[in-house]
Amino acid sequence: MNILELVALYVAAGSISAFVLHRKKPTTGRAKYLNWLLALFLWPLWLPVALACVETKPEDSHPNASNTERTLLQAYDAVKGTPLEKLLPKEAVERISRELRNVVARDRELSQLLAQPNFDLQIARERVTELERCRASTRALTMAKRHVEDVERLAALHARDRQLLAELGDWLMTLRTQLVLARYSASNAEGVSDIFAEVCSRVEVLGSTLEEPNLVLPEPPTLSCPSTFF
Amino acid sequence: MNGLQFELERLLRHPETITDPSRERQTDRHLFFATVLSILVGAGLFGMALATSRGGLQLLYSSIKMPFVCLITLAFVTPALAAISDVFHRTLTLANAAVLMLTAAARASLILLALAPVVWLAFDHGLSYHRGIIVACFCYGIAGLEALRIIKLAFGNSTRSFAIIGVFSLVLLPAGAQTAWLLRPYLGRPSQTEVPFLRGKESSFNQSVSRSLTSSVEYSE
Repeated sequence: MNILELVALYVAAGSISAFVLHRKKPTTGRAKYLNWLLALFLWPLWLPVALACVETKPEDSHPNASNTERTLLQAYDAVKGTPLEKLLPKEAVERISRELRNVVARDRELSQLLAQPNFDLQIARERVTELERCRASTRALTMAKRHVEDVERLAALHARDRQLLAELGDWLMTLRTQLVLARYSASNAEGVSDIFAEVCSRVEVLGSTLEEPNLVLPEPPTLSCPSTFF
Repeated sequence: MNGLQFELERLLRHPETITDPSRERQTDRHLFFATVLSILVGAGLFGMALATSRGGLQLLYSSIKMPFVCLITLAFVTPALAAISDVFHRTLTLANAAVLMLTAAARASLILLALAPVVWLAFDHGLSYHRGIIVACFCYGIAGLEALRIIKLAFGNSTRSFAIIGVFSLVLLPAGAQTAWLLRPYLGRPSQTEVPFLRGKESSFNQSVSRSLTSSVEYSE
């Protein structure tokens, strides 16, 4: 077998891969051409990855929601239009959804911020040590220490949000299971109210730090520049 | 675009999260693009830096061929990694094997990208053809160590993991060497008047190595 035959065989296998992939997950526009191109020439690498993505993609009725919010919306979907809806009213679901979106946005922002070298706690602490070692001015040292404190507070806030979100996710999962169980097995739905109360209390804690604080900004210093500067 | 940026950042800063088998699979598509992009840019620019010794068309040829060597080798050896892992009772799906190999190759390409200015500087200061090849081999060695580190991260430190990596090396090294051999030249011989895209087949990588060894032994005697 010479090199041309080998290439022909490879491209033929690639064509079959592209066809299989197109059948499994039809795409349109630019994505379609990209899929065909990758499947044709890089099929040993692209085909398993693309197929795995197709296979693991869940049937998602709320594609833009976070995992926690999705669980909540699925819980509501389970009781929507049934007598159980009064246990999880639409208004409450919308309010919790709104809070969750805010928290997730804050979590993303904090993650991005804390990933920056300027907000690395280790680097900030080393900076303080360095300034102390060099006997830097008190002002510089105070600023550096304040920065360390701010970063620590941000990191603590981030960790607390993460923990509350994880707990909330667990409670919502239990709530969804209880509601589905109550709906299909006509079992007692007494526990649902307690779980819902737990969810609400956690959402309240998460939302409490999101409310606009009453910021009291200090007056900016007035600088009087000599006219010779201009 | 955000997904691609996120995966590029992950590749640069937290590659250990990629090798975690429990990661979110939905993002593998973006990860695939990020790794292929890193290979195209990293290996491509390193190839270009190697070709600065010759210049002209060789710059273009080397920048095209270098990433291709990497991708063709991966295409050949990835199924072997999945099979070898399975033999050693460490189940690795074909998708996970592909992601792992692409990540390792992408990190290696990024190392090559970092070394490209050094190679360029060396050639600019008159590094000869043969020494240039040795420098290139040294760079491949460093990049290979990073790829190995990524693979080791995925398999862990057990004896079984070392066995998998050892057996897989027996597949990867000859396959990679032969692919690179087929697509040479990357530097371009100074004596050649024209720049060929591919050199004549002449022999295989193994034959060439044994011939070079024999001639070096004869020369030393």
